[in-house]
Amino acid sequence: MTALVWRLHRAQVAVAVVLLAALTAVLIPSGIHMAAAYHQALAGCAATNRCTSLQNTLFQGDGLILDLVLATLAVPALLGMFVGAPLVAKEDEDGTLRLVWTQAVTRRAWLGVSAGWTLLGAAVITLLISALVAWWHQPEYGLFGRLLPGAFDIQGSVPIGYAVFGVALGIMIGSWVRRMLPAVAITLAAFAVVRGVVFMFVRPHLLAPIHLLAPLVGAEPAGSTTWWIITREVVDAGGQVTTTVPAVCSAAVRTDTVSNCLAAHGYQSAVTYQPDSRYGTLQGLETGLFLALAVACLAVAYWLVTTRDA
Amino acid sequence: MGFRLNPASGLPAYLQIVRQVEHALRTGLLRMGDQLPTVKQVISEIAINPNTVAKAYRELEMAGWVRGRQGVGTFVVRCPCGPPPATYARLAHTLEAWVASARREGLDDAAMEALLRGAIDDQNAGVA
Amino acid sequence: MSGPASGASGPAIRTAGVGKRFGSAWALRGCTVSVPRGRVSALVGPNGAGKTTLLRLLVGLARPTAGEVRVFGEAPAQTGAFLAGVGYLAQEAPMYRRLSAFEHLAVGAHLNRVWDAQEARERLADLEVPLDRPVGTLSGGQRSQVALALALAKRPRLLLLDEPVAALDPLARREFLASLAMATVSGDLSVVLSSHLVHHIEHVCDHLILLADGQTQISDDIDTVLAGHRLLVGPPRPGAGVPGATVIDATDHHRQSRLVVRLTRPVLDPAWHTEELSLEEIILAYMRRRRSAIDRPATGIRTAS
Repeated sequence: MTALVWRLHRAQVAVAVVLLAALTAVLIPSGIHMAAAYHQALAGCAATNRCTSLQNTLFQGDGLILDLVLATLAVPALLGMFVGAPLVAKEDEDGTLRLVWTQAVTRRAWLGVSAGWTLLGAAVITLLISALVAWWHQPEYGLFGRLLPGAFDIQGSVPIGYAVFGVALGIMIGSWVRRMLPAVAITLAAFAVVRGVVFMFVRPHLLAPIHLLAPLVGAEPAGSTTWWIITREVVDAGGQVTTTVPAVCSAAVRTDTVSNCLAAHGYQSAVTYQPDSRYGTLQGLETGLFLALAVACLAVAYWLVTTRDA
Repeated sequence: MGFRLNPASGLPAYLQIVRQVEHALRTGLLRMGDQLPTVKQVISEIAINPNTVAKAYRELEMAGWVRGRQGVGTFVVRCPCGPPPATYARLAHTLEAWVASARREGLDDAAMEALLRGAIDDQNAGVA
Repeated sequence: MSGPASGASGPAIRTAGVGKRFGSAWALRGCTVSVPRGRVSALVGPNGAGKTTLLRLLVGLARPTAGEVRVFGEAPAQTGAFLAGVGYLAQEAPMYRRLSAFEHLAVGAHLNRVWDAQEARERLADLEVPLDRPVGTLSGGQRSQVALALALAKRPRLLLLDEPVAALDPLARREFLASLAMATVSGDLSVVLSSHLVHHIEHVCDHLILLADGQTQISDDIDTVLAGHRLLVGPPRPGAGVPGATVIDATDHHRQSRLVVRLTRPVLDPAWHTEELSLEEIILAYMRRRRSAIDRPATGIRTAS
């Protein structure tokens, strides 16, 4: 059975290897260059204690490469669409399901081996990409932390979780829909919805965020550049959230005089955030969540494959 | 020898084969000691069920024309005591003349066949 | 009856009132057949009669909505043991188009318990079918031969073929059926092949299953069917019955009535002229007859064979 899975997917594996090699060829020089520039600038600003402005000046010219790195966000979705969804749906459309499901291998074993290898392959590909991106990203995370959406989703273990979920989701949808184009489209939509929902409503609360009252003006709390700020609101002296400028400060016109006025009247900034130190735990929890979803999808796929007519 | 199957005939396939072998025996196409085509040879020429061939050969064996030898083949063991080939040629010649004359009179193929069939049936009825 | 294994230990196929419904429509209904071992059965009927559905039920690709299916005494199951004994060739012989015949044979060894690739390779080489080219580049006839070789390589006891020659030119059809007939020489193989045109396949078959009008019209050996039906031609007698015969189809003309009948004893009435019928004519008669108030039972159903 593995022999068949290999033969059916070897073209896809070749494409993946080529793309991965290309990505590596682009990111390795870029990463080395970025790291050198970063350390140099760090050494320079440490002397003058102006490191907080580094964020605005460094890494502005690498636009295309930044886009490429950000584009790896799409890899789990693509794997789901082009490896997971066609697994059952394409073979049903081509009719080969009626060939392979009438061999002695049984549908159970067919699904187990096919899904097993494709999930493993997806995990390996995203593992390599994630490791590459994490290495490339190190200077950036020195400045911005790893919790921001553009960084958190493309390194560490979550891409592997997304990929495994994407492929499992694709397999399940393909087992249900049984026609390739609809299966691909629905997989993309469902994947985007799940990722979006988790990102917006679940991730901020995987660990209870930290609440902090910070002064409206003056220096930012230490290390806050690496925080993932979830909400930042203005609260009055009594702790109530306000969105309107109170009468007493209505005379102020410019933003900084408004802030000074508010600060003088006891207004503060209420910040909800996750610190960068929680990166590992948050990664682990979100990865675990997606792996659990993947298992659920595979269970449904198993039921669909073994009980529905072919 | 080669077999043919006529799909429009009402005769079961095995009987058609039996008849064709009997015809071959009568006209001298098959002679004493000749081997009938093997089942595989027949199948490769006309895609037919091997049981049909086996059944036909069994009928011929029961009628005494052939004997099957396990692992070797089926062989002709008796020839019909019919007229020699020359007689066939002479009778065929007479028949050709009749056909030509019937055509001149305006009979078509079906009418000629009907006449011949009728004559045979009458003879059989007369004999039986 | 011909066939070395007939009656040995139960029929190859037995169905009892089996039906399959998709949504609100029945694709197959009330199908009751019994096919002895070693037979090559022609499964015939108009398009939509349920031939494909019956074959899928027999191999376990679908499950019946009603009734029972038994193959060698067991219900079709998704187990290695059952699937090893039944070969299936779907319509249009689906295969992995980018893989070659050689690769299909190589992979088959990993998917099956018993696998004889050597004989398959030899047979395909005899037929001059290229083994190293992707199957999608082969002609229809060559693809069918590869698919047949794959189905036979696992040495099944029962082989099911869904319209295997429908799209083939006459030569490819002849070669395919010859290959199939060769495979049945040993007598261990039972075959069911479906076709909507019986004259394509009738000579390689010795058993007939006719599905029409939602019913099993015939389920019997072909020799029996041929021997048991006659065409009666006589003076016009619309609506007349014939003692000792069941009228299947009657055509009444101005000067003549023509009846296709199933005989239980010879017809002695001298008014009727008796002629033999070809298998196709018999089948057409069954397909033409209208369902009457009296349900005519299908011919030749064996309850034990």
